[in-house]
Amino acid sequence: MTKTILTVDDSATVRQMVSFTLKASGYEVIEATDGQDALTKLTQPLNMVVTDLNMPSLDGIGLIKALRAHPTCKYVPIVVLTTESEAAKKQEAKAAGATAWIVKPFRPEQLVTVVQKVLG
Amino acid sequence: MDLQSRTREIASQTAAIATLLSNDEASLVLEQVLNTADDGREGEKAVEAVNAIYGNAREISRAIDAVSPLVRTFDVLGIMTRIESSRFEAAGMTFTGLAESVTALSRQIREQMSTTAGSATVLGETIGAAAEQIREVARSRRQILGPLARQIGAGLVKIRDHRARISHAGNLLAARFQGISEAVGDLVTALQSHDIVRQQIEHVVQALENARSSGIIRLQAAQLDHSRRTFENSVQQIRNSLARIEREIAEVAEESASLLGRSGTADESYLSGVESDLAGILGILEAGRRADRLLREAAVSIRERVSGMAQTISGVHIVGLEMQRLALNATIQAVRLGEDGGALEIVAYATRNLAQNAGSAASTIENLLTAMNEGVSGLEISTEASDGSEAQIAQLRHGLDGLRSVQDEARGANDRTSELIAGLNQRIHEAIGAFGAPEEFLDVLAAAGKALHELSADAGAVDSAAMDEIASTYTMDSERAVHKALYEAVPAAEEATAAQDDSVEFF
Repeated sequence: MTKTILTVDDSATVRQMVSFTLKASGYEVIEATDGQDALTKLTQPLNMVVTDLNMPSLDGIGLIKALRAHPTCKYVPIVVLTTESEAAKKQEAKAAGATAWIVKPFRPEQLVTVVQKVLG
Repeated sequence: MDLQSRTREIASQTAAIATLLSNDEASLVLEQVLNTADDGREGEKAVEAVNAIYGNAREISRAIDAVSPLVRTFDVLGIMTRIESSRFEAAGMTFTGLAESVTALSRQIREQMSTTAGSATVLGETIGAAAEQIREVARSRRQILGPLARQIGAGLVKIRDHRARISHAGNLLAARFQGISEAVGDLVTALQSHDIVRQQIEHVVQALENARSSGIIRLQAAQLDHSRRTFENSVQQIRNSLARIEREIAEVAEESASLLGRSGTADESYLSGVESDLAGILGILEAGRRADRLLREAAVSIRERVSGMAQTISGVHIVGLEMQRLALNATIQAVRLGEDGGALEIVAYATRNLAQNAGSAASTIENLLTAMNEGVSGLEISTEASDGSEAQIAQLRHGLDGLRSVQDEARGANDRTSELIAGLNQRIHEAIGAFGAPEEFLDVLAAAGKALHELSADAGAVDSAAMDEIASTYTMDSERAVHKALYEAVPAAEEATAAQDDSVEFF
């Protein structure tokens, strides 16, 4: 069965790149413009979330915490995709419940490898 | 970004063509059929059988002709018997019955031999016609079938070799598609850099809005310079990627055209040669089938005639026996007559001899008829090859249909591939066109950077508190690196940052 991934980023270019890369690998992709928008997409089953950190309305850390509190997304893998590489920020994301961390810019094969490894 | 999907579709089509052509069983089956095809030797057996029967028929005719003098002698004998009979009438004795019997028997023999001669003539004509046809077919098979089969085999080998080259070309094209895939990956990376540059510029703008010293301005000038360089590099990467894609696609188009397109022309010429030669073989095989059918009909007809002739000839035996009985009676009468019975004795002797000769001629003809029956059996066995021909013809037709089908499918796939390649080329050109000229944006960044540098030319002491505040807004290592490069010391909050930049980490 096709797996569904939610990509969350305030940059349309990044959402387009993530969507193109994952769809080419056979995944279904849903886009959200920020954390708040992402929370409205939880009505459908999700297999994974790929989220930026720095976003308006609700940032990445806030989204991770909200997802972990949501009954249907408690155990959904969450990959942070960000320009950040600071250790403190990584620790914060990990504490919130993130599964993995990718620094932008990513290469398509890199993203696919991480997704495949996380989803199994 | 449908370049990737289009490329994937082209790769898929090319692989499909390669698979289709490498699994071409049609030409393999045809080749196998032709390798086991009759090269004319089977037809020779039928010719031999027909020739033997023809020989039998001629011998039968000769044997019948040899009986004619006997029949005339019987007539003479009948006359002599009547003469002798009339001579003894005067003496009160009569052999009229004898004379009439001899005359009747001689008439029977004449009729039977006449019937047999007529049958033999028709038999000869039937066999002659069939023999002529089978000889003609055998000649065609001998002279044409073998070389044609070998020619087709060579044509099929060429087709298969060519298709094998095409299927192997899939490996060559795979390398091209890999190159395209890598170039698309470079594009994805480069386009993200544009977004990163956007964020960097937003940070610069924010920092300038709150700038309270020329030191801050100088820092932002350096950040802007870095952004401009990043953008410049990404533009170059995009241009290089698009150029590489265009180049790889051009090579794909060239290789596809030379291989797949050539399969349209080379395969076509081989195939039309194969089709033409196969048509020749099918014509010969069908002529052979018709000739075999004719022979089978002739065999049935011959058997019927032989059976009729055998019955007729058996009648001659009966007449012969009757003649011998008469001869015996005549001999007895001659003995009774003593010296006067001399002529009668001669008649009786002649009658006996003629009867024996007629019986012997009938036996000869019977033996020839038996031999002819055996010959017909041999002919029927040789015509059983036509069953094999039927199957062969069906196989050849099926093989040819299969060959055409593979060719049509490959041609269709080739047309689709050509369309896809043309479409992809167009998209590439559109993408290159849409990318436009980013020089204007670079000029703006350069001008802004220059202005900031001029504004900060007299930058004095660094306000470390302000720098710390600025540093706290950084979200990228690149921003921290510019900051560090400009001011050597890393802000206190950043000193703990020691970790090597690792782009992927699992928690």
